[in-house]
Amino acid sequence: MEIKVLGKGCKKCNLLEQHAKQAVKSLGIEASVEKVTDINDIAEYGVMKTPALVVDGEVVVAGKVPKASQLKEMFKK
Amino acid sequence: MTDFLRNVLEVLFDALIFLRNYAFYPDDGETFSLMRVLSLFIAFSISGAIVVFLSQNAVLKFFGPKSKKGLSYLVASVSGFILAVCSCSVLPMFASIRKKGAGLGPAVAFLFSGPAINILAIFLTFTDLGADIGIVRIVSAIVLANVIGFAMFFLYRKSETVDEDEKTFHLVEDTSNLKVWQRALFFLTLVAILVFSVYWALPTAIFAVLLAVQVALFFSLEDLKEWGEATWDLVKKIIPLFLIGVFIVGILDSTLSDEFVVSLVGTNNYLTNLLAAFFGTTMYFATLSEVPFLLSMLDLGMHMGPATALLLAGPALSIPNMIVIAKVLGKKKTLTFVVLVAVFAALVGLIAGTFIYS
Repeated sequence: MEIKVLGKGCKKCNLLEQHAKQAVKSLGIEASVEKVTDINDIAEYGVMKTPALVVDGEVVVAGKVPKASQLKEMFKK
Repeated sequence: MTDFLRNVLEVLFDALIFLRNYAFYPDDGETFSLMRVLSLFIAFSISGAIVVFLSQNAVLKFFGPKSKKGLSYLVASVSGFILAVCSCSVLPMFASIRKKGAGLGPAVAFLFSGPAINILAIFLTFTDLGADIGIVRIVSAIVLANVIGFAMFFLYRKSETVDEDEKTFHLVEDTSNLKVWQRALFFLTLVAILVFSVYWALPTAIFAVLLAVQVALFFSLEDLKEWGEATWDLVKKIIPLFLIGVFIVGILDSTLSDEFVVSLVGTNNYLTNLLAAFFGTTMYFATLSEVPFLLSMLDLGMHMGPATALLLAGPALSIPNMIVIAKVLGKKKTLTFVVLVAVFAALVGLIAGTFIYS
């Protein structure tokens, strides 16, 4: 699984990255968590509000920071 | 050398006094008043409430690739009220609207008007600079956003294409469960408190009680927590830089002479307006700090026409801002945008200076 955290390095973006990593770790799945900070790359996904989370090329979260437990549910699918 | 040091210390001391007076002594250092800080706090609370309780989707859907273009411009030019609460969220939205949404024109309209029509900017402009310049700022920011947005679209209609695929345009999920009328009532109450807090204590108290009742009846603990967090988030993002901004204004206020300011921008003609607009487009102002800056400049003898030009061009653009915009749009389009902003801001300053403030 390929997970991307979109955001220009604000506090919430870092928090989302942490939560994503926690979720991946506790699920024990194979997944890469990568940060996307370039404004053009972020716009490429068409998200209106950062932080956003992209899983395998699809935007699943935009404009908020779900808890690690909520992310776990998302990653299970 | 000691003279020089003493002068520097004096200027720094003046700047501190300026900062203190700006925050607590609205009547030229005469009477201590907490009113300013309190009403600023209310304005921040409203901004926080906008972030949490107003549906951003209701607005964002007008920026989709298939939305009616005329409507996109119109909504873009006024939506800063809801969307541009913090300047940090404006640039990513701008980039996305242009690339995956309604295109360059509406994106530029949004970028331009946002810093002028969010509630904090409106509030501060009205209380510090007065209602006439406040109204001119709001109206001309909205009108110019449409004009400049459309001009950009028209000039670059060949090289800019809109991605029609709606699936790549992502909205934000709403978090609150409040009903529409509950949100509306809540905002009206908050705005009423803000408006009255400047003038009368009694209506403020009545609306405050009304607010407390609403909060008790409608809001969950989770709602309140989110509201508090959003407000505190904004305070943390804006206030430290703003205070530094006011301090720097204090330094300028102490070092610039009346004669100097008057000789540069003391009259209202096309040169003074262009100068003010050009200064505004390049200079970086920390969020909101354009207002105390102008307060000081007007005090030193700046004419209100050029002040308006600066107010329109200033918060929308700065050199650091241009660098990011250039990364998104490229150098040529960015330069066009800057020139359009400077020219139109100067024009509005000139017109307002001649016909409105006299």
